[in-house]
Amino acid sequence: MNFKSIEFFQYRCFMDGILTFGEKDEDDRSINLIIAENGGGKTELLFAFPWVLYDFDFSTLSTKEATPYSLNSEIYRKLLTSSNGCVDACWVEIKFFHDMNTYTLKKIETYDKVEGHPTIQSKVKKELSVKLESGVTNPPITDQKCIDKILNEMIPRKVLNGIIFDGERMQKLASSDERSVDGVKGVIFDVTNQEKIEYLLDVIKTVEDNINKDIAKAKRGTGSRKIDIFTNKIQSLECNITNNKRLFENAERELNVCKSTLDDISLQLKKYDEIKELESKRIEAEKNLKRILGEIEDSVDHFNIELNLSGFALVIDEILKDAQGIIESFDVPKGLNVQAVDSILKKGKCICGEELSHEKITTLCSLREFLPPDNVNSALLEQIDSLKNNKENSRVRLNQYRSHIKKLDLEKTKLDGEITFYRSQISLSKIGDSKELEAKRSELYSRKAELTTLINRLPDEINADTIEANSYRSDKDALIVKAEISEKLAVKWKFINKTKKATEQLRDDLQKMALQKINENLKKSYREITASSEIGRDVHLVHTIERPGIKYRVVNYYVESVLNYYHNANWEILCTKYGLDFNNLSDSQKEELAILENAVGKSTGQSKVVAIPFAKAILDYSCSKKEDEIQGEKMYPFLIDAPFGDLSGDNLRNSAKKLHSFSNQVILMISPDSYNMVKDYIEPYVRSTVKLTKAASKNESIIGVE
Amino acid sequence: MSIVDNILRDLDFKENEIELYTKIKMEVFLKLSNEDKKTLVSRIEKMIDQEYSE
Repeated sequence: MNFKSIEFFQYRCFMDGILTFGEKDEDDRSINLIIAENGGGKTELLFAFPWVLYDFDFSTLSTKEATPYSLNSEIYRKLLTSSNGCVDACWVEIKFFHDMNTYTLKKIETYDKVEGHPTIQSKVKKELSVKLESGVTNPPITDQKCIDKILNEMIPRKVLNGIIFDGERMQKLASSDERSVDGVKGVIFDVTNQEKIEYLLDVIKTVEDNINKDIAKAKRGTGSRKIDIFTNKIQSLECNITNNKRLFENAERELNVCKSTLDDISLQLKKYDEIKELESKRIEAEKNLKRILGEIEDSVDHFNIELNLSGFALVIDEILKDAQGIIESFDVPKGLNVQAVDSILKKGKCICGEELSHEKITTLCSLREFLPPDNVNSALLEQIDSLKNNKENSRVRLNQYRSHIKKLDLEKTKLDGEITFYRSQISLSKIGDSKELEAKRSELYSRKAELTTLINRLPDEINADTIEANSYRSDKDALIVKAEISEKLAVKWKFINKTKKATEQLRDDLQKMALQKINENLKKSYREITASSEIGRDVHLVHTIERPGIKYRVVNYYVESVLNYYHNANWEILCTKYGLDFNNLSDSQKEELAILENAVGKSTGQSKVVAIPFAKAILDYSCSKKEDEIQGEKMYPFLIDAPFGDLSGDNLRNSAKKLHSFSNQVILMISPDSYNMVKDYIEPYVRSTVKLTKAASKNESIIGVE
Repeated sequence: MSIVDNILRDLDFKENEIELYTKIKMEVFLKLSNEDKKTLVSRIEKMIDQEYSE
């Protein structure tokens, strides 16, 4: 690829304008010259490319920290003091050629003075359009990711870093201290595109970590020990279940027995109650019997008394009959009695009507004294009637007594029967003591309650144990599956581990080869540039001694000194000094140890004369065919700022002479003074020249074509 | 034989493993700039899963 042009609008120190670039023509002219005084915008121009392509951060540039924005400083300051809502923008447009297509990449940054913000807010927008070989221009692409992808395929960010050499970087590479190590390491890292392989390694390690996590997860729950634990738990639970089932069956059986016994006891107690009732009835019957007997006795007594008193009347019926006949046959007026006399006396007249005389009255009164209340017949008759009546009454009473005694006797007989029955029933019932039965019943009730609780509880326990056992079974099954998964994971881990090793090996091998190649390129370029001025001196990129501050160091040395040293060196001491394993010391490491021990200091010019071949070595490496598909092998432009400043003599001449061969497109930024020094060697290869002039009134660079 | 082939051979990669490794490598290199790592890792894991589930 090569750059066609770069155009600015309100961008940093540049006045609006365009710079065009060409690539090597048939006359071998590849240098695009940018001439500017110091502070004229050379470095600014150099970093405009990475700003457009990969959003270069200006604040990383020394001396540019105060202006980390793309907008022209003057406009930026005006915007800063303007009222809220003011907007301004800048843009840079790069045209470049790649694979027969012309790409136009425009980056616009809009600055907005937002209300409430102390600083200016900026927003970036990129547009990439492609003009195909056929002349057709595709619509611009604005998706950042898509643009990055296309750019990364054409000129990877790291490659871009490997082809841009500014003064600061050159200084860093040329220095004799450890800063050069960092510089060289950075460039090599960029140009060998190690980011890709490191990213691959990072991704592989992440996959490995994930597999490890899966394995750990699987292992956490696997292993025969864990399975054994589960098996034991299942067995223990099964044992519990069996015991509980047996317990349940026994409890059920016992409960039935208990219930049956309780029924028996209840029955017995019922019988007991019945017997108690019988007993009570018996007592009652005996009591009644006793009463009846008493009553009978009384009745018999009454009967006897009655019989004694009136019994004779029953047998004097004939006597009375005879007596009555006799009386009736006697002349005793029936009815002559005191009452009759009293009646006559009261009337004062006789029955015949004759008036009673005093005498008669006295006779009557005397008679009256002798007369019974009734007359004798009447009295006897009355007595007989009375006796008859008494006889009847006595008969009635005796009959009543007899009936009553009979009735009582019947009752007695009944009660005797009942008592005999009760006694027989009571004597037949062989029941225990009711208290004992009650106690037993109470005990059985407690046991029944216990058994019922147990019977209610056991199914739940059995169920819970069954669920738990099933859960363990399922866990165990899962473990068995996990164990199988672990095996699968182990296979995957084995693969990813091999992959990691392979990638690490690949990274190391590629780096080793890249460093060897860059070292070769460096030596070759160095010899070309310093052929006559630095006789006997050589340069070396340390790459086999893995020690911080040593690896990647670019050192100058005299070949002869190193050769002499090599044959007499004490490698063991050197190994100790550089922290190497003496037993595994390689020839390359020996050579590097000898070089390091014989390194010579670099003057500023000598340092610069190392930096330029190093830049060429890097560029040559970028463009060379690689051992793998990771690194590109494309031709890239070479952008270099002030390379000749500290060079002189043959070094200056040779560097200048060789510069055009560094790439098909060299964009060289140089001061007029430096250019004048190398003009004779550069001018034949100059493709285009642009002058950057600092405007007198403003702090701006004016782009002008010469 | 390329440097990668030599390394893979030395590490006893089988044919299917070489193929898978190449696929992974290309997947990473192709998606380097426009895909987040998580998605990429996930896809590579799927590739490996697929290979070892067969």
